[in-house]
Amino acid sequence: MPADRAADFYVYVFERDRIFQRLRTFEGRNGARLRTFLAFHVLKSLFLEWQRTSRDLDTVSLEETPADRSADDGGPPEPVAPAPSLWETLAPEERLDLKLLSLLECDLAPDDLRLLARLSGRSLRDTVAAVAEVQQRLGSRDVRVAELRAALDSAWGWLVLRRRELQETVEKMRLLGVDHDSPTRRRLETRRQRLEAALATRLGQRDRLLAQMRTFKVTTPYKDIAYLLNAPVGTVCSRIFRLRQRLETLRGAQEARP
Amino acid sequence: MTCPDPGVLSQLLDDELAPAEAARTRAHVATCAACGERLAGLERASALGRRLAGAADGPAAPPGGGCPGAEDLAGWAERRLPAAVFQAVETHLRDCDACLVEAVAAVRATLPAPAPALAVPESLKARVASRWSAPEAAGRGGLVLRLVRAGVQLVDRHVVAPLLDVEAWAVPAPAVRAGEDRSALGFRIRAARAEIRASVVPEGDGVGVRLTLLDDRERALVAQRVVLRRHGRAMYSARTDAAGTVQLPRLEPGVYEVACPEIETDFRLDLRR
Repeated sequence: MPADRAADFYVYVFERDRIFQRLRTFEGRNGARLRTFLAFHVLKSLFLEWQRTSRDLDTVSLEETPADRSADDGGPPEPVAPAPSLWETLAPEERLDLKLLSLLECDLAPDDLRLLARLSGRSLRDTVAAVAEVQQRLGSRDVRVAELRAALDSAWGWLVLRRRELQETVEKMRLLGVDHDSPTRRRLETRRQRLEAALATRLGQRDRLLAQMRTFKVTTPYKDIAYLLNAPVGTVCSRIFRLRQRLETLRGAQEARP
Repeated sequence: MTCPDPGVLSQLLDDELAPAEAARTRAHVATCAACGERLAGLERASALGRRLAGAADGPAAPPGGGCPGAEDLAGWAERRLPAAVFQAVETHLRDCDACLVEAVAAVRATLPAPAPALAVPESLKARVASRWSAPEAAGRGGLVLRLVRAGVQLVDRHVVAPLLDVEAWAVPAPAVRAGEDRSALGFRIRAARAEIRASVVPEGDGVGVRLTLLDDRERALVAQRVVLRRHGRAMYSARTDAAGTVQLPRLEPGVYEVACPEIETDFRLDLRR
């Protein structure tokens, strides 16, 4: 976020005692500390609220950098992601291994985390903490990579937020039923179209960030993967090797098909 | 050297070999066509895997029912919950995607911040300071300028250090339509190395504000950004013209902040009916 916007948010948080009103809901039950509650809940919900009050869909921060635009003109810098069918043919464990190997640029989905917890025999909490710790360590190895990671995080947060809004809009339209010409419906329809367009732009931005990140060679060290899976490093080595062999075979088969 | 196990080639790709072994393996691959081909295949597969993993994501499922409160999630993230409550949260997270996403955020919030704290930008300090009136003793309390005519009655100004001085004087309205009796107010804000001259003219229900930015030798400051904010949100932004002037849009009564980031000057305009 540019410093100017961050400053806007800072001012918003303290204006009309917003932050203090929310902090009042903290009861201190069960030993939860205020700091964590503040960081992940209060500030996050204030951020969402602040985003919602902004009338337009972030046209400012959606501005593309010149590098973005040149990437558009010259076509994507690498082949477009292969058909999702290939991803679908992989077993959940294999998908998890691939994500673990690229932990710096991929976040684990809820199902991945559950699977990882099961495989490692850890509680979900300890699994989530271990992943976060490894991700943080990976990010601290290279400043440029860490910057990209931060940009990716904010693009991701934006996507989550707007997708939820799109879901809500679509749901409202569904509830409105068949009255096609009501002003409310037209307003919702405009909103939906704008959200979809903005989402498409953001997804493009996110793909470009990912492509940029892939120019850095940062795979998760095997010992970290082994730690996450609670398995010996040797097992990780052979799992990754077998997975790559399988991918190469699948890729060959896909290319052979007309 | 005999051909290495293909698994070793895979490790080579990920920088997992000891330096000596990596060098030996690279030297061998350079001379052995079969191993070169194997390594290339593994490299393709590795790139493909990375793309697949990166492309995989989708909208998270909406929350179900009976979700734990934020405080319990915070306690869970810190592992401070009593065992029974902890287990209840764990069980819930096994089914609820939305909560698990929240939970990941909660855990991340418990990690120590990796980067050194960022310095607070001067413009933010100035903005925050502009929201508080300085103690009277410092001689920079809010100054109230009164306009007698209809339209604007009060121009209340809070300015921040390093502003040095404010002067107010009555100026003739730059353009008055026949039969209309208008008066305008001008004031001058002196900062360390710059000066802002403002004229405020009633316009219907609101006011027009024109600002001129000058440097310390009274030369126009050209192409300076001027941002107008209301309730902390930017509503107008423009750059000064060749004369150092910028005309703000007609303002309704209310409280505004004017920021000129390039000369590090912010002030608040309080326009009341």
